[in-house]
Amino acid sequence: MDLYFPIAEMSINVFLVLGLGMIGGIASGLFGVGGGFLMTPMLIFVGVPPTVAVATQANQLVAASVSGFLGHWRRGHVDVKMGGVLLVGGILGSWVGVALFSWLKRMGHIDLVISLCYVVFLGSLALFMLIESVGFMLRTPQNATVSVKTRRDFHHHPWLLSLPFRMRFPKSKLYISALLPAMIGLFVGILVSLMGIGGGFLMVPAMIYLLGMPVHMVPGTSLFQITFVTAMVTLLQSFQNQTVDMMLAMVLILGSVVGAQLGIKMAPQIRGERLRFILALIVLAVCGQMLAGLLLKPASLFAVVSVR
Amino acid sequence: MMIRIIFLFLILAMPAWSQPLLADLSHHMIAIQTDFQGQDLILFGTLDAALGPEDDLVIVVKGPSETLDVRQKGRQGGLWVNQKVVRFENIPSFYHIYRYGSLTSLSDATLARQELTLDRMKLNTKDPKNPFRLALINSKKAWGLYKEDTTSIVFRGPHLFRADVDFPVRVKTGQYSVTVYLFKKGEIIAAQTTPLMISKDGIGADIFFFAHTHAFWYGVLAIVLALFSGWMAFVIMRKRSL
Repeated sequence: MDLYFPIAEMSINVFLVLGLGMIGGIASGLFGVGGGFLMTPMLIFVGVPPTVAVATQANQLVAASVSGFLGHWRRGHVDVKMGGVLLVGGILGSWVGVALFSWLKRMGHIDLVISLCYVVFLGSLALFMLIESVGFMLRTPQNATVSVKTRRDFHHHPWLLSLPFRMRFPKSKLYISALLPAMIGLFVGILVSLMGIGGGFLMVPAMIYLLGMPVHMVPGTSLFQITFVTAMVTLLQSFQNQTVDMMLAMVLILGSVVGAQLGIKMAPQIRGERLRFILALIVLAVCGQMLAGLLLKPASLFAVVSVR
Repeated sequence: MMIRIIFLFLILAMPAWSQPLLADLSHHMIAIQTDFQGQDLILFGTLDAALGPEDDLVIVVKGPSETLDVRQKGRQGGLWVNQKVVRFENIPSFYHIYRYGSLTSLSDATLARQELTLDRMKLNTKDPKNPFRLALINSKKAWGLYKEDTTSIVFRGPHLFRADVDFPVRVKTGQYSVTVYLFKKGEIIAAQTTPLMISKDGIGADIFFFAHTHAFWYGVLAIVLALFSGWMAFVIMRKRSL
């Protein structure tokens, strides 16, 4: 059954869209990431104009992340204060990123930058995560606790501790500089507007490794921040570009909210390192696809794009 | 059935008119609704004299204009990046040519003036071998938006003809024109233009209209709907798990 989507100006099979939403939703609930890094490339692959895909994806992420966030909230796994500081940086970053996006689009290099961002940031992170999780799985459970201790030491680096504006985050049992989460939020916010993703995948490891937050607090807190940042991007995109396809978003949402709840239920049944291993593999596959697009000779050297 | 009645009407009316060419469309309006899959229209018409071997009948369907960029990729530092861009301004978003006859008796000037082949369309450059131009036409053909067709026009007897004009799902909304040309031994005898409107309709049209007229509130509604459905899903799933 095909549906015509008015802003995307094309018709797509409803079940295909529902399926895409579900995949993104499961990733969202399972890993505490938005799932945008999977869905935006898939929407573009299906034929949705990239500008519409990125903007509609932001709208979809609002629903997926609020639903995931509520699940973690009920378990008390959200640090609102930390999320708030991340959010301040995130909103600033998304403004910078949107400006950068328009500039790169005018220069005709936005596709290249999107692919490079995927490969460089997501790819290197995924590779690191893969190696770390494999090492983790090979070790015995007793040794694993030792490893957690060394990881905790990393964020106690003297340089990080010497930053000003220290703030207490009682929920995460942290006393660190507020600049640190704000900078993470800013950096992620910029990448988010460039890549059309929620940014959880980048934020989650930063929160664990750089901030030293307790692992169980991380997904809920990142989803809290993502909900607000994506809502903001939805508003900006609707207002400036009219590229949010509400109908496409609603069908994606339908699939993704079901997926998100499934993911949350699946999460406790899978060990953390195994979860990271799976996520790393998925992200590497997406990045590999992007890298191939950059390195291999394209089937057609020409691309036709409409000028709005 | 409707078409047969119209055909019958045309046959009966023919002696009274004695015009060289008369044609019309089965519909003058296409509404793009949520179940839109593309649509076929039927063009039907009548000639006062049968076509000879050196005569041609050509139908040109032209859509609203648009501006497109064609980008060429090149290798730079091991990566394939966009290197050159050519902009095509105010070109037809849709261009279908249906013909009956070989067009061999038509002069180049006539073919070019009426743009009767894709090679002779007035795009930025008239050089039919320009790679950017070729890339544009090939993409448009792949999307079903540009077409040269020699089989769609079918004659029922010496005077009556019909043609299936297909509009693919990617059509742009706006004003279209359908022009039928009749050539006898290379000379234009008659031409007739019929307008056609393609517009969005139903809930899709409402969404599109709302997005463009109240952009801010559209954004707010999109967020509220997303928040609400996210919350709903959470509530439903929690109840089920209790």
